[in-house]
Formats: sequence, C-alpha cells, structure tokens
Amino acid sequence: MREVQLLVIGGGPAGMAAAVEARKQGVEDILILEREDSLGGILQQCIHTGFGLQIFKEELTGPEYACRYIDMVHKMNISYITGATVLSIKSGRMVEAISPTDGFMRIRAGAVILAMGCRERTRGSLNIPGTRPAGIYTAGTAQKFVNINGYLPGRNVVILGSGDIGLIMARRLTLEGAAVKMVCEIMPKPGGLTRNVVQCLQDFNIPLKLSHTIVEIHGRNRIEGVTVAAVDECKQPAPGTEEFVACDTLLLSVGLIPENEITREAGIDIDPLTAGPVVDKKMQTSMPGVFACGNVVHVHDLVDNVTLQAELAGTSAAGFVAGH
Amino acid sequence: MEKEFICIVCPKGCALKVTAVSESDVKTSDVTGHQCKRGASYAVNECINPVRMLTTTVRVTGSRQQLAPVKSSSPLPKALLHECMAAVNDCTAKTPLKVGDIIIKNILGTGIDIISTSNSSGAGR
Repeated sequence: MREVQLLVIGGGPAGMAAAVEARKQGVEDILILEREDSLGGILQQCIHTGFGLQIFKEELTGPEYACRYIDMVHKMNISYITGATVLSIKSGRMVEAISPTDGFMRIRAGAVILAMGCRERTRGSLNIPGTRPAGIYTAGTAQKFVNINGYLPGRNVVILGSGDIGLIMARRLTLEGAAVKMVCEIMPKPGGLTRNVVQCLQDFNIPLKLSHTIVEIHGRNRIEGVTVAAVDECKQPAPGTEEFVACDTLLLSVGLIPENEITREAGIDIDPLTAGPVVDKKMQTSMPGVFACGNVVHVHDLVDNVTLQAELAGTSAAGFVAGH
Repeated sequence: MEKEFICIVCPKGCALKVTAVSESDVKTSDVTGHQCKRGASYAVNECINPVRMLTTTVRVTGSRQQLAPVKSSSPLPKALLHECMAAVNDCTAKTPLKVGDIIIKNILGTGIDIISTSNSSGAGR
C-alpha cells in the first residue's frame, strides 16, 4: 500500500490546476492519476483557440493551455501516473487503481480531489427512432478521430445539437473537406456561444435549423440519411414538416454529463440537477477530505472557470491535509 | 453604409454596428455596441479585410502520434483559409516539436507563419 498526502483523480485542466495550487500551498506529496497516455485531458483534442483569456490574458489553443499546466506540473516535480484507471474510493480515503506500469495499486490519501471531467450524451439518451447503422458519433469522438488520429469520420455530415463542440466540429470538418449539410437544434436558440455560431457556421454558410430535430435515422450498414422535422413549443415534431436529408455521418452534440461512477459508488452525495457531487463553498463533498472541481462537479463553458474552481479545491485540500 | 456584426473576439459576443460614409473608409469611431477596443477594431476589419485564426493539424513523422496541432501565428485573410488548409495538408513535419516552432514560414506569401501548438516528443515509432 502506498500513502500520499494528496491524490488527484484526473490529469486534465481541473486536476492539474488543483495539484499545482495545492503544491503552492505547501503540500509536498501529491500524486495525479490520469487515464489517458498523457496529461491534458480533453484540451489536447480541442485544437481551436479561445482558451485562457481570463487566466493568461491571451487567447490560446487547447493544447497550448494544457502545455502551460503540464510544464508547471513538471517544474514543481508533482508526480503522476498515466494510463491509470481508478476503480474505487473506499472509506478512509483508500483509493484502488490499476495501470499497465504499476499494476494494482492501493493508495491511502490524506485528501482526495475528484477531477474526472465529463462525458458526452449519446444516441441512447435521446431515443431517436430508426435503424442502428454505423456512422453515428458524438461530436467529441469525431473530434478525437480528426484531431488526434487523423481520420475523417465521413464526407456528408448532419450535426444534431448546437453545443459548442458541435459548432466547432462543423467548421473543422468543413476545413478538412467534408460537406456539413446542416446543424439541427431542438431549442429556438443555439446552444453554443454566439461567436461560434458566427465563426463556425455563418463563415462557411452552414444552415442552422432552430426548433428542428431528427425524427428518424435511415440506413442498414452505414447511415444513409436522417429525417428532420420542425418542432412545436412543446418540442414535439410537427406533422407535415418532415424532410429527408442524405448523409453518411451524424454527429451528436447534445450535452455533457459529469462522470461520477466512482463518486456514486463511494456513497458521496450527488446533486440530481447537475449530476455532480454536492459540494460546500470549499469544494468539499459529503465525504470529509474528498474535494471535487471542474466538469465533474458541473459542466463549465470556459476552461478558465474550471481552473479557478480547481485552485479553490486545491487550496481547500491543502488546508485539510495541514489539519485545519 | 450600415453593417451589423456579432463580435467573435471573446465569448461575450457583443452586437456591433458600423455606420460609415463609404465602405473603403471605416474608422473605429464609426463602431457602436462594443464593450472593448478589440471589438471596435474587429468591426473595422470585418468591413475592410475579414481575418480568422486558422487552427488545424499537420502530419508528423518520428513520433508515436500521427498529427500535431498547429495554428496561424496571427489571423489569416478569411478568403485564404481553404488554400492554407491545402498547403498545411501537403506538409509533413518532423518531431520533436515545441510550442511555437515554425512549421510553414510565410504561408501563401501572407507574412504569417503556421506554428506548432504542442510539444510533440520524437519518442516512439
């Protein structure tokens, strides 16, 4: 069994900022556990600009923002293990994790910071009728294919949901040579930031269909098209407005859910509204000494706000470790 | 001339209005609706020469990764974005790369460089 003063679960922007802040407050023995091969979290695939205006007073891309914190983690000699998955948090802040390099680990932590981020909602949570062909991805998965792995998921794309990731992907796929047919949004106004509607859709003449949704998915092996329909004020499809749109790819940008499986299993109280742990003003959860920050608490619009919240959690955890 | 824009400089998204005598002669003092200086110059630019940051990826060799993220060192003329994409997609960069390393110098004669936005190690395949 290993003992650390502070264990941070997740090496994305929240986890790194919390660890860096805790180190500044004097916590010497910090360990970050990260599931992916490298630190940085979702920022690594968010290659567009718009990050860091508040924290660094300049406009950075996601990888650049991540780099700033990875450099701080290295400079402060904060240890981390990549490829590590946390299996459970037991009482007494005993954390069980597994990684290819370290095998099964039991770590007793003086304090724990939850920074696992969030996950995308999928087709399963929408109940769109129709067949179940290949070619349906969440926008973030498509983003990973294009920006990290170098694959174009398809040539003719329809995007459901006008969240920021969906809008960013509309531009990204267009620049890489795909035709984005339309973005459908069930609400009467766009879900993402206005600047993204302007620079990702209007710049490329991509139609944004507000108060529209997809009522059927067509295709046997690969998706061949979708039926799009207008919705009324109750978000019910209006009969007679259906339109078939041919496509070989459907992206879903329909919201994010904090990723709290291990939080829930640990018996930590979850707020049903945010799907994140209930926290006090110091970002402490219902389990003493376990803190949380970033998108695992609630989904943030801006990474800068994640960083600020993580600094608060890092400070509070440092105070807990010091015994006050 | 009267034109309306939504500012894309920051997430606030101010509604900007430009009222000028002619399209060729637009000054920051002709702009209303902005909450900061950058908004005013954005609106002037949109009238004269709209520009956008380009962020994309470039193929790399000598690394475990297939791609490295890159950006334009400053905003590029909007009309050249697709041509710049083609130039970046024709290019292969060698790792290791550091943030800020120049991948393509003076792309399409614009005076703007394409630069790396991550540290890509040369380790691996």
